[in-house]
Amino acid sequence: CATPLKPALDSESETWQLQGKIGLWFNDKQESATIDWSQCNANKTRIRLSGPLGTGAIELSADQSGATLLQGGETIKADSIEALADRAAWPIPVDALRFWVRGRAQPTEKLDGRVNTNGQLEYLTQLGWQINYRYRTPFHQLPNKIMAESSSSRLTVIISDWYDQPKLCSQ
Amino acid sequence: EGDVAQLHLHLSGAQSLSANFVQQVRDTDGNLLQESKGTIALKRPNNIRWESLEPFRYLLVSNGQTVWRYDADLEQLNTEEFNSLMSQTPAMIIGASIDELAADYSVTVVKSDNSREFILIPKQQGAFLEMRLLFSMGKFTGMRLVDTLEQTTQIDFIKPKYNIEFDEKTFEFNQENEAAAR
Repeated sequence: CATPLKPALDSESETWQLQGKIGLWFNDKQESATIDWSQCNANKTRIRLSGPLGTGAIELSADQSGATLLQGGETIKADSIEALADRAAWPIPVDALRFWVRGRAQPTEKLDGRVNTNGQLEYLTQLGWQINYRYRTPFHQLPNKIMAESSSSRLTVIISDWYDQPKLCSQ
Repeated sequence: EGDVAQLHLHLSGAQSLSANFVQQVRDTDGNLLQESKGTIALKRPNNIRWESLEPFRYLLVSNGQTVWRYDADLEQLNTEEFNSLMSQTPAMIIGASIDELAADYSVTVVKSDNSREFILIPKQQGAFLEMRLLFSMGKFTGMRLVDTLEQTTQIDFIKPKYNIEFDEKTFEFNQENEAAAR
């Protein structure tokens, strides 16, 4: 479906969906997957990761009642989505990444960063991660690529599409 | 049983295959989640070059001994020894030998006039719930996989050519000529 040139999505909004690809490098392992992340509000999240050929699909979700991991036909519950991400062998800092992918800093933690003259966050250092940003044009507020590095791992998210009304949130 | 023999017969008609493909991933309600396009080259058993070109560039090459998985967007290369576990991924299944298929999957065939669908269900908990190999007029035309989130990945071969010769570099990966090919 051809997406018309929509007005720049409001990067402050808590309701969004991204589709793209994620790569993770940690203790000499490397993984890649397509990613479909829907965020309805601060507490309602669904992240789907699946292998390039449609296998190994996993789903991490969270709402007020807690977090759930669907993997290999099993359902595992926990109180935090980050704990489940580790368990799924995808140790991604989900709580902070939720802001970083939007070209924003996590609001309550100490940070160091630089914003360019177009008002786009260019790099950010926070929570032990160093994050670099790419934008499709100088006018996009939402990045199309972020590269994050910590002492123990490296994470790249390539975003091919941003949406502001995720289907998940209207169900 | 008979269905495995039928699958054997059908797959033996596709000892090698070269085609473009369109891959569509749909959720349980049938909504299109993602569409990707690419090319596939296959020489049974276990020689495969699966390259998806858009929206993401991903390359899987196997010569039956080594499997290379190269993600050009992420500049990530995984090189692994080929082993039977490898045959759990769809690209590898269509290259697998008949005995491997019969050993790892229960096979049932669904017939409707001149098309056949072979339903493969992993015998142990696999990376997917079910896979169908699709044949029309005896030709291998595509496959459909249901993953553990019940999303469906449909792969349709476009203008497939069967039983053709490949030059031996097809099923080898080396970084320089891959980058040069971009």
